[in-house]
Amino acid sequence: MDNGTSNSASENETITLKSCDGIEFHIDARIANRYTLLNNWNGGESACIPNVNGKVLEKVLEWCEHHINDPQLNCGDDDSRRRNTIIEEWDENFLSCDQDMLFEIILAANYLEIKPLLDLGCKTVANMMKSKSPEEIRSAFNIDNDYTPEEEEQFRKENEWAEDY
Amino acid sequence: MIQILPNELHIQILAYIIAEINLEKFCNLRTVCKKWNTFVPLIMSEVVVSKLKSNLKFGLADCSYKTVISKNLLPTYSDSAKTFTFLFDQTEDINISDIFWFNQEKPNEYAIKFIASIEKECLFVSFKLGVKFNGLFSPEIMNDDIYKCQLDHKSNMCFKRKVKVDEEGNSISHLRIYSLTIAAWKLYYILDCLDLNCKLTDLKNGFQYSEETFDYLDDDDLSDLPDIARRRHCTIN
Repeated sequence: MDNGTSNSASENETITLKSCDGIEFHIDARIANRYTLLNNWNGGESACIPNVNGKVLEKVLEWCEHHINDPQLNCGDDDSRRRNTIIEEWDENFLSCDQDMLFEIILAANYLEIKPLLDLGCKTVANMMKSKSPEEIRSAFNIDNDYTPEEEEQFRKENEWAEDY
Repeated sequence: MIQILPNELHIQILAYIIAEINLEKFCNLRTVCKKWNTFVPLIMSEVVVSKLKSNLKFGLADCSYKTVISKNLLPTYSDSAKTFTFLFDQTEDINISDIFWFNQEKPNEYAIKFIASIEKECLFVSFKLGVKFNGLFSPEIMNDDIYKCQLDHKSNMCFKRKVKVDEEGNSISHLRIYSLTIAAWKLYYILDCLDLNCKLTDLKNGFQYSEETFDYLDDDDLSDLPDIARRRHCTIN
């Protein structure tokens, strides 16, 4: 059955990727073929990936390996994926890491144009935030409150929804 | 650490959050930080427009008589005013004296009140929830052609004047509904309530479901109504 993974590389072919801090990873060539940006770099025996350190690249490649046989996404899948924040168990466990690593993975996925991983990371953060109040979000994600007390008061007034009645 | 993410990823995260919580709660996320204050309204207006584009119908109706004035319109959002504006392209002509001067003579008896409503069709039922507006009084003349009536603190309705010449060569002014501007929170509230797919027994003051709004009138009933009401008992697509 055609699962949509039309990779030209064979299962035994490997490519070496080097992180920005010099750590090398020997990966299945099909992974590189699957993601455009990785594929652009695998012209030689070894390719360096700037901006992504070894620790993060290892996690990203672990995710890519696990999902190597997933069907490729079509353009029209974007909206349907956006409509839900359901995350599979393996992915949920995979991203049960500290916040710094989670955001590094999201950044790397964005940089490497690994869209499904990027979506997964954003969904994970959204799930962490959805039941929290603005104050709780600020505190959980260490976001500075850059409003002045006057601006906060203005907001409070604006958000009094039934003001007209 | 979230601050290291570029703006487009903040927007992506917020787009996932809005799929999971209601618009009222999502609106409060503006208070998290100034950056989110910029992103949240953008996402909200996008969601409102896409909802109205897909499975929801917006309508404006006379409160007392079954008059549907327009449908399937998409609004534009103004963040500075926190309002949505619907523009109308095709509506029925209304005589100026009907809409303004007549109301001023007997404001309590015959004032034309409007309801802006949204209809959602579910599997077996459809829900129509509307926000009631007060009668139209004291129009403000914006220019020669546009009259604006303030409906409440943030909502208003504009009428466009058109002059027609009748068979005897007399010029007659008519008005058409040009736009409806509605406070954003009212639209959010309606959409939140419709998302529940069932009727709430306790709505905020000023909102009501369709049954109470658009009672069908038999032709016999029409004979008891004043002229203005009879002429307005119609449906325009």
